[in-house]
Amino acid sequence: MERRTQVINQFGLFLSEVPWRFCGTSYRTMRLFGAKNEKVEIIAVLREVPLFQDLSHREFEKLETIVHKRSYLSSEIIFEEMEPGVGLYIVQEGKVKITSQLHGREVVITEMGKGDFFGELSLLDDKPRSATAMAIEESKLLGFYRPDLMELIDASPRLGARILFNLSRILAERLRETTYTLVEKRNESRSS
Amino acid sequence: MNPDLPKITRRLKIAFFLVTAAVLSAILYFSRSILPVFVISLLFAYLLVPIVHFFERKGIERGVSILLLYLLFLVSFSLFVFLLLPGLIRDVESFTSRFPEYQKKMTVITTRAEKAAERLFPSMKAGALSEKLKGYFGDALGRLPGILISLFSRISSLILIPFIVFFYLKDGNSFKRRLLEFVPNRFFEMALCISYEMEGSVGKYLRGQMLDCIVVGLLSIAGLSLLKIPNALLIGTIAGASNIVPYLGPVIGFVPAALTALLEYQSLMPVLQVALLFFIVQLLDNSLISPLVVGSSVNLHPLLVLFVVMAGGSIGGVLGAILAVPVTSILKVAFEVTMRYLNQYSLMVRARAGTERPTA
Repeated sequence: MERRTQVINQFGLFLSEVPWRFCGTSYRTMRLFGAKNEKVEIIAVLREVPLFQDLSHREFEKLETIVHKRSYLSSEIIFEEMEPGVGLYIVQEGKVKITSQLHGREVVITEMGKGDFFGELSLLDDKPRSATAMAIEESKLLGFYRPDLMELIDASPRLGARILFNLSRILAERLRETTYTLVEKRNESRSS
Repeated sequence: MNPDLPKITRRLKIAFFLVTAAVLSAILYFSRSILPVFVISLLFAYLLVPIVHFFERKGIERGVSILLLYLLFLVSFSLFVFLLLPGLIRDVESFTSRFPEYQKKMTVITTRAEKAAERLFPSMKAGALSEKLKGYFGDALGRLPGILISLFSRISSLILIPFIVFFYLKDGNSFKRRLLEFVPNRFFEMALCISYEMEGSVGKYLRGQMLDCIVVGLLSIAGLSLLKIPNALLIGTIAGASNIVPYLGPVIGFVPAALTALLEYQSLMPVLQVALLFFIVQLLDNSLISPLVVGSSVNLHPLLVLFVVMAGGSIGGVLGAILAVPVTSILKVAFEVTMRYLNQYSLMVRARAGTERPTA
């Protein structure tokens, strides 16, 4: 790396850390100085998540201070079916397998990669998890939990409302898909 | 913990954890003299968080919100100094200037009581009681400056409190996140829920308790002024502040009020009036104010209160006795929340063992 870039990086890191944080150094400023720290990385991942669509830079910065960084070993369980769940996980790195028990057999529902998220239903209610999530390789996840969301709604209602609206939109879309599939299946069984 | 992890690694992990815990507790033990400052700051932070949230909801950055809060505090503190403090100082001064007079009156009252007692119980030695009382009374006055000085030297680090509170308020969340990072993945969600619930309950308890003390103090001041007891402001303030200790607090508040009434009017009637006033205030507090603002979640058994106050006193002196009940209540809330979550989780796990598919 060029010496000048290094200096700029250091300066950017310094800016993003100590005193300027207090005045709210923005993501943009950090980008401007080419500071490639974890914060920027996390914000970049969060930007890809539909749940956080249309948020401002400042709001992403706030969000970054709310999500929890968790690391999982390969084949480590993230959560299990029937466990009480309190939040969703976003894949920052690695791969995650979602499975469910059906008549005593494990059925793989889907696999998740970078930028995917799962467990979002737990943001809304405290019903048990409906599936098991397991890391299939060493993974880094970002956890976003109900109590944090509640506090966010309390402290900055605009941001909280936007996230809730996005969540509702995602759920509505999924409900529509489910209805469509259901109608299709019913038609299929009638015609056969 | 991951079962695939080799045994040796797991043992190393446990050993590391134990050593860290031991070192940390040793540090805490040897620095116990400065711990109260941090505990008091934490309590203040809990009290003030809703105000910071209020500003944040208006769209003000957290740092600026805290500064605004400090500005507000400065203004109200100056108001307190300008409006209330002169009255309080006047009360203290008048109390000290009246003290010799009170002492004389006390002797008169005790000799009168002694004569009456002698008539009833001829075997009692005359003068013994008054001598003893005089000794106590003189002692109390002699010790008072000492107690005050020790209290102040203990809280000389009071000046640090605003700084510590500032950082608790500003970075409290990130402290919490850092601490939670150490929790193993298996228990992370539970730990997060417990931490939030605990924070909510403790904050609610502290704010309620504070409000309760203020209301009791104001009621006492108003009642004492109505009864024309001198130094009503000082005695009422003591009654309000001592109300933080349940069961014992009202007694601590009542004693100076009753003594002042007795010495001022030299008859039992005002003392009875004061007793009635304190009774009514306590009745109001216990049946109306306290259930409304504190809630019944932190009811400690009277015996437990007695024990922790005495234990706190023997560990940390006056400050220890004052902090004992709030700290015990906080621990109780924390314990209850943790137990409830643990139960919930083990119930869920047991349910999983019994069923094959969730209903949700």
